[in-house]
Formats: sequence, C-alpha cells, structure tokens
Amino acid sequence: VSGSHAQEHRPGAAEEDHAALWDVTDREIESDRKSEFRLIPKAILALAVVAALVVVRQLVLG
Amino acid sequence: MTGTGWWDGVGLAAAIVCMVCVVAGVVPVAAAAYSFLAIPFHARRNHYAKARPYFPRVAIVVPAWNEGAVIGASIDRLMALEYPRDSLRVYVVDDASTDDTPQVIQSKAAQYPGNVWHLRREKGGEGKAHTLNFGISEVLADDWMQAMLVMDADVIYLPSSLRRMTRHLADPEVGAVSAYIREGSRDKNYLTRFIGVEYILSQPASRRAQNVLGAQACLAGGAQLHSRENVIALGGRIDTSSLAEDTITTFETQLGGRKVVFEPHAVVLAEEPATVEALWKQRLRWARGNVSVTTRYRKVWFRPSRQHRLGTISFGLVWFSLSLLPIAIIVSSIGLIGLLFLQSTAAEILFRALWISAACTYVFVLAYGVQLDPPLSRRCWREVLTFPGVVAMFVMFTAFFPTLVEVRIPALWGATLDDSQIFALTLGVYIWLPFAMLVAWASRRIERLPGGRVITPILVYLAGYGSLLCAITFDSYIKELRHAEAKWDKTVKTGRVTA
Repeated sequence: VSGSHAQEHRPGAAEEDHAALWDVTDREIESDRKSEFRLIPKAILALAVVAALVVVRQLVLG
Repeated sequence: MTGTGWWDGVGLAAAIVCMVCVVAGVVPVAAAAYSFLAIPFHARRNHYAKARPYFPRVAIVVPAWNEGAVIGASIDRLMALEYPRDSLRVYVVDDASTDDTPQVIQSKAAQYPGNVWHLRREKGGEGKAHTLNFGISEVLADDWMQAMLVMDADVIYLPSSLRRMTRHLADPEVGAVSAYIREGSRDKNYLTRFIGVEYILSQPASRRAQNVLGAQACLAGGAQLHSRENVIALGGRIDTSSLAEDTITTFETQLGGRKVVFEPHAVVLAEEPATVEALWKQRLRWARGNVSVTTRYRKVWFRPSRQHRLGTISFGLVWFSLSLLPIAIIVSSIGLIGLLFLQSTAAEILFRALWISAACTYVFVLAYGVQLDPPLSRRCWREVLTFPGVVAMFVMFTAFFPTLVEVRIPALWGATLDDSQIFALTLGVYIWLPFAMLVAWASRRIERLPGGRVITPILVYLAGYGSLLCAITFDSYIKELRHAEAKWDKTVKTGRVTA
C-alpha cells in the first residue's frame, strides 16, 4: 500500500499469528466489501413494501 | 378595500402562513427519506478500497467510575480480541472509584502483565472527558501508542471488531473510526428493545448514509478509534467545555481535514438504560450537548468547504431535521389546526400529504432497517411494529384510509359519525404528535409512582418511542434557554451485557 501505514507493519514469516491474522483480515475486507452490495436488493425490497402499501390503499379506496 | 375584502385578505394570508407551517413538518420526513435512500450507495461509496490489514499498537483508554460490576469482564473480553496481544494495552482510568473497581483492575493487571494498566485519579467526578484526558496524557507520554481506542467500561467488543476498525487506519487520510454499538442487554425489557431498534436505524443505517455523504455526525462514545496523528492534532485532549465531547471530537477531526469512517461490521455490545428516567438523563445530556454543538459550529452549517463535508446542504439537513424535530412537529400541528378553522379542505389535503409521506417513509425506514440486523430485529419485532406509537399508527391509517375510519368502521357497529364527531376526531388527529410528547413526558413522572412500572410501558407504546426522544430534545431546549446547570449524570451500569 504505497504511502500508507500498512506497508510498515506487514508481518514477517516468523510471526505466524500475525500472518494468520493478516490473511483473515485481508479476506474479511473483501467479504465485507462484497456484502455491502446486498444493501441494494434490501433497499429494493423495502421500497416494494411501500409500493404494496400504496397499491392496497388504491384498492381499498376503489 | 372594503371591510369584507380586508378580512378576506387577512384570512388568506393566515391560511398561507398555516400552510408554510404544515410544510415545515415535511422537512424532517424528506430528510429521513433522503438519508435512507443514500444507504444503498454505500455498496460503492465505502472505504474498503483503501482498507488494508493493519495492526498498529493500540492503547485502549477506559474511563471507569464505580465499574466494579462490569470492568473485569470487559478487560477479559479485550484480552480475547483477535488482535496481536503484544500490540494491545488497556489503560483503565479509575476516576476515584469508591467501590471495588481498583481491586478488580489490579487483579486484572496481575493476570495480564504488560497489557493492563491501572491509572488512578484521586480527585474524580468531573466527567468522562476529564477522566479520558488523564489517560490520554499517559498514553502520549511515550511513542508506544500508534492508535488509541476510547471505550466505555461496560461495552463488549466482539472478537473481530478491533481489527475491523484498525484496517481503515491503514489509510493515512483517516483520523478516526467508529463501530456499531448494538444494544446487548441479556434481559431485555420494552425500553432496551426500543433502544435496540433505534440503534439499528441510527448506526448501521444512518451512519452508513453519513459515510456516503462524506461526513459523520458523531463517533460512538463507546467505540472510537483514533490514529496517533489525530490525537495529537486534536491537542492531545478531549474537549471538556460541553456535554458533547464525542461530537466535538468528531467535528474537530473532520474540520482538520481528516476522515471519520463508520465501520458497520465492527460490532460492540453495550448496556442501555432500562427505565425512562435513566434514558431521559442520558439523552438529555446528549441533546444538550448537541444544542451546544449547533451553536458552536454555527459558521460551519450550510457553508460547503473543500476540506470537509460538514458544511454541505445534505449534512446540514440531516443534522437540523433531527435536532429541530420537536419544533417542526409542533409548528406543523399548529399549522394544521389553524387551517382546519380557515380552510378545512386545504387542511385535509395537506394532512393526508404529510401523513401519507410520513407513513411511507416510516415503512421504508423500518423495512430497510430490520434487514440490516435481522437477529436483533426479530427479538424486537413488537417494538419495530410500534416504533412510531400505536396512536400515531392509527393517525397514519386515518390518512391512508379516511373513509374506512370515518364511515365504514363505525358502520360495523351501526354508528354514523356526525359533523361534530368528525371535527373532534380530526382535531385529535391533527394535535396528536405534540400531545404524544406530553404523554411521553408524563410517562417519566408516572414511572416513579406506585404501579408506574406497569403504566409507563403502556404509555410509551401508545405515544411512541420517537415521541419520547422528541420530548427529551424539547426538554433540552428549555434547559439550555434557562442556562440550567449541565451536570455529568453517569448512566448506571449493572453488567447485563452478554455476547
């Protein structure tokens, strides 16, 4: 990571615990980043609930 | 102009003023809708592209005053964090505790040598910020600390939470990171469940939106991680002049050109008030702090800057729509009642437009919010459904289906509402929200009386948790106008949090 703190602290091969944490964190960043895309269908579902409410209103009011 | 014409002109002007007042009620609704519609954009506008695995040496500063019941478990949890142990130090700042807090900390310091440190203030009771400053001066005394985590004594960090926060500090532009504070009481009651729902809406929902807008309103007091550079840039101390030290820290960080990031996947569990009285004290402190922040940064609002995004119109709308919500509600109701006497047809049209938009926003906000923390939402389903209050839901129903309420439902019992009954119903509906704040205020008084613990939950369900928060905010205006003494009322913690 050019210019960031991350490079200074990359663990060496001897530090196995740090290396394992490093890998886990690296994977976690990617999975958390991807999981944020689920916000889009969730928003669509919430909007669909609102749309259903409006449709029910129209049906009830005839 | 004839006398009749003059009066017509006055009537028209008054009707226009009333309409403007009603429209004031639309602003917070629009701001809430705008804020929640920004959340899906977090899929693209987030900080993960600049996050990297990064494990700085973290000094955790924990202010503690009579926290004997909770501090031991909190330290154990910190030592169980999935984080390099040699990069972790816990500094517990004992604020002249009079219970067994010092003994508990010392036993933990012996159990975790080199990781847990006991700092004792002999003169305490000045508030959290003073206690924190004592700890901060210690951790800045040498070069060991690369990042500083400020937390509350009772909160529980889930094992991955700290490293999920530190990864954002790999970007040198980031000054501070906040986590999702989740209501975590083991034995939840109606109020902690309402708070649980509120926290879903205000954190994984609203703070994601603030990430998208590029400005954070407040770092969570129980979970704020700062880079060393940021702590030094802040002067190496927390502001002690107001009750809103977390918000001031957040603003100063961003005004200094450093980013504040909310990390929704770093989860921290906290114990929240279980009585209206305790909630009132806690939120009054927050609300009064926010009033002082609003005036302190008066030259920031609605003045866009290249250095930060606190001055954008969108962030200003979000900030003021919350802090001025009680006023908007009262003004809007006054406008509706005025119109009812001046132009009843216009009043009805505006009422429906206002409440239908409020109902749609409420349904969208809650339908979205529950998906952001499904396990907690399932446990709090009653509070999710009744969040705006049972009576407010009836008002929304009236706006959506007027003929059902005024004609068909009474007809089920063979009744017909005459004009005076419909007028009384309409008046009650228009006046409900300000009245709900009074009911919420009364619930606090009634809680202290015999049988109050039974009646108060009923009142809160009827008036709505939002009305309770609005009543507290309104109380904060009164206290600030009266220049009432700003006391540090610490929320009592009993160790009810469970992971």
